[in-house]
Amino acid sequence: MIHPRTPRRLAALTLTLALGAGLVSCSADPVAAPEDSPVLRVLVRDAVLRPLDVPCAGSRPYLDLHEGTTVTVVDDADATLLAAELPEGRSIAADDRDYGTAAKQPSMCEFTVPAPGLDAGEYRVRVGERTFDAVVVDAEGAFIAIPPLGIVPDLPGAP
Amino acid sequence: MNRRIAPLLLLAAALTLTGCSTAGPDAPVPGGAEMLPGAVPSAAQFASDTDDPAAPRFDAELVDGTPVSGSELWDGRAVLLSFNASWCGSCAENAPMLDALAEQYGDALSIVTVAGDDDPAALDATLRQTPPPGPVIRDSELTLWRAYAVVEPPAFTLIDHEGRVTRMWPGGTDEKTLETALEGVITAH
Repeated sequence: MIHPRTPRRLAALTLTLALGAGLVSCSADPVAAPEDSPVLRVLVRDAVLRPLDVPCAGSRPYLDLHEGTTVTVVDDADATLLAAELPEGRSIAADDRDYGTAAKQPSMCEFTVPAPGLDAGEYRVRVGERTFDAVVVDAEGAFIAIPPLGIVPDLPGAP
Repeated sequence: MNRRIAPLLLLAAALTLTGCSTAGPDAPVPGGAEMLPGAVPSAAQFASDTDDPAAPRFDAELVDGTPVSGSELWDGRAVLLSFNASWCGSCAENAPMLDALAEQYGDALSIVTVAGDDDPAALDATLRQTPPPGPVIRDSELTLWRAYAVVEPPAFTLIDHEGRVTRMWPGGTDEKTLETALEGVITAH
């Protein structure tokens, strides 16, 4: 309890509380999801030279994939199960070659979106204007590669 | 209320409010014609390497619609093109460095932001919150980005006073590196 005859202490407490309230009101951090909740991993396979493990966003032609891009997961009935935004991405190695002390290496940009409460199943996922049908979600979540894995360019003479 | 506490409460309230404040949506967007550089300082001296390639020419518009051309921008002064986007976190971190360089070199250098935003409102809000160090080109179609082979922001291109590309930094660089490069093209200011 604060004694009314201790104005300095009261003032300090008041100031601290007021400033604290100000900081809290400015904060836009979302509530953290439980560590074991599923996540959507969105991997932009842009193969750009970057330092590894630094903030990133999709590079050209994937500039639409960046912090703040909307992410929605919808089911067969078109009900929205998750509405979120991409957080800041992190750069990861594009391959397992040894580039020595090179400051920048071929990299991709990975976004990790918490998806608490998302049950296992097959859903349609929209990332910005891009739609991915039949995305399989399991207990760990889902993985979305952009462009999708396994696409072979339609080259002349290719089987 | 205790008279000694009242001023502290007012101070706390003021700090709380200013901590969240940004310019209103009706405020002019910084980065238009008012940010074009003045006359090149008479004391300024420049150097150029004639082996460097000519900078890609361009015609563009600033955020206020003012038409500009590359050749006007680098006519007799060095230009640093700063390729940027409102969603680019590391671009925002470069702001103090670019402000310091703009202050240091004055009108001997023009730092031109080339904003690749496809959302004009997002760009306007960012510019109001963090005023740029010089004029800002809207490049929503990425015309200049392509011309200067930019694949992601941040990226810098240094152009000397005769319109030659001195150096490009995909992914950005640090203040010391930029200062060293600028000392090579602006020998007095």
